[in-house]
Amino acid sequence: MARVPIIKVGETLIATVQDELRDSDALTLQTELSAAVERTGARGVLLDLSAVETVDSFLGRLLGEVAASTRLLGAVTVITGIQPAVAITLVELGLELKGVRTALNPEKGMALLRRLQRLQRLQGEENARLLPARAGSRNGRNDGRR
Amino acid sequence: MERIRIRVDVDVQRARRAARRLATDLGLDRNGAEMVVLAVSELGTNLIRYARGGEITLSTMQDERGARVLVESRDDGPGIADVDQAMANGSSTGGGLGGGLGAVRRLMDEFAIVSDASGTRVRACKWVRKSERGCGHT
Repeated sequence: MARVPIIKVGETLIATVQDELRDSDALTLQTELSAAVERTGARGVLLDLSAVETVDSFLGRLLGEVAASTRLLGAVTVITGIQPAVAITLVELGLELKGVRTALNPEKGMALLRRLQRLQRLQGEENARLLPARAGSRNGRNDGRR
Repeated sequence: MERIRIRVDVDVQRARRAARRLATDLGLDRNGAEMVVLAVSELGTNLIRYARGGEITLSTMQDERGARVLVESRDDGPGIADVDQAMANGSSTGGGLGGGLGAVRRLMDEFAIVSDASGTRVRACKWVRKSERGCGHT
């Protein structure tokens, strides 16, 4: 099949898998998504699997790895469009994609990403607010010891 | 009967498509068909990863006991040293890729495996309506 196109909308990368993925296609997608996150500084990745009929143990594990590696690059991954039959077989496989955010469809996935990104920003502001204060108190204590 | 040589991942994709068609034509519902497809996918992946290729045979059987899809995987690879362990690891191997034999057994109604130094042979079947009886070939 053709490569999976990755497009950027705001701070989010969107990749829609249009066809069954061969193992090599899935590996290519993993590499390209990580590279795209690094290049664009995206904060979120939406991976839509609506057209995917089979997620086997290889692809299932790879999806977990995609989420983990993009997280290390500072982006949250949300997987959308998992079909009911895929969900059932994933559970049978013992692959429940723990640690991977999911949403029913791309629309709900975008809403989830917006919420998560807002949360991330708030935490960032909170940290920025707290850190100088903590540095200040340490100075204060040092002064007291002298 | 459909015989598919498995060498590279494209072959696994072909086997998945053939399995989906066969299972659906026989009357398995969507979920049942996907279970067969997934079992074929795991077996095919194993052939590439562990046996440097092999063959998957798909067929259907219909008689007075009912209709079922038969899946057979065959290779002349090194064989599985400890079949029980391979079955146990099956689904949950975090590190090792492929595996999935335990999953194949759970996904299908019947399952049999023979493995020695001359290769590995897995036979499994799924009934259109699950039955207590064997598949007639295992």
